[in-house]
Amino acid sequence: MISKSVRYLEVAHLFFVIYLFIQAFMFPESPRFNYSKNRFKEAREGLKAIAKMNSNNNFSADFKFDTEKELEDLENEGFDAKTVRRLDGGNEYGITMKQYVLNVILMSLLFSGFSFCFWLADFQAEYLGTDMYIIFYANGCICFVSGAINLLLYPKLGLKWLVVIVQSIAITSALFIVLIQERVISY
Amino acid sequence: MPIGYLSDVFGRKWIFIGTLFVLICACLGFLFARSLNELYIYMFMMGLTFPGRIIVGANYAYEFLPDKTRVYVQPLGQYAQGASLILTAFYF
Repeated sequence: MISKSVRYLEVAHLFFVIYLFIQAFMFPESPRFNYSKNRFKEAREGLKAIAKMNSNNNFSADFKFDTEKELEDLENEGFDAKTVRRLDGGNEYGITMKQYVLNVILMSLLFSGFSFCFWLADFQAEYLGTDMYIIFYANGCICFVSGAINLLLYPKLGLKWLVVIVQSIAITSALFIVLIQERVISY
Repeated sequence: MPIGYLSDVFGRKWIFIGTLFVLICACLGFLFARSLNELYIYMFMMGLTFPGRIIVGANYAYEFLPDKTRVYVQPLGQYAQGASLILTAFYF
């Protein structure tokens, strides 16, 4: 082992992962996944198991999903439910609508932008000649602040405006860093 | 790796379990690595499991939660991440 200090931390990590691994076998498949595959019975059973885990005794699996009813109606009218596009925009092979594809591309670009900014901080610290502990403390504090921002603002503003605000902060900060590095402004 | 897509095809549960299995192997390898090169390989393996944990694992957990609770759980995850970063820096 390269560093004995890492070993204790890694052992704790390993125990946690093994615990999660065992737990995962006990969890049912995601009801949303089963629903997306038209496995409505399994989805209901999954919901029932989750309700039981949460000690919710009021849950009843005696219901039908909207899509389930919709597909049954289609079949009763003589249509092939597998070939008819569903109202939620997807089918069993994933996303088919143009708008959904554009949204996925946009979100991927946005996520790349976020990730780039996140990792750029490490290189920025290298540029400033600071040590890695500062990065850890700074990133840790940023996680707390961003968590608090999400917790406080998301219910009030919703996703769209929260993304707009966060992106505005990111762009302003990036601009500030560039201007400092290029000696356009000084502090 | 298109792990998110695979979880849409094969289900969240088994992709997440597979991810954790690879992670356990990588952790064990990491613990018993005898050289820096070996360490790099196991760290790379750990990195490969990152999308499986963050994209599939987190969403798998979120899908068990009602919308109201989901809003509070995500920031709690961020707090935990922040705390682990700061505590790690203290530890070393």
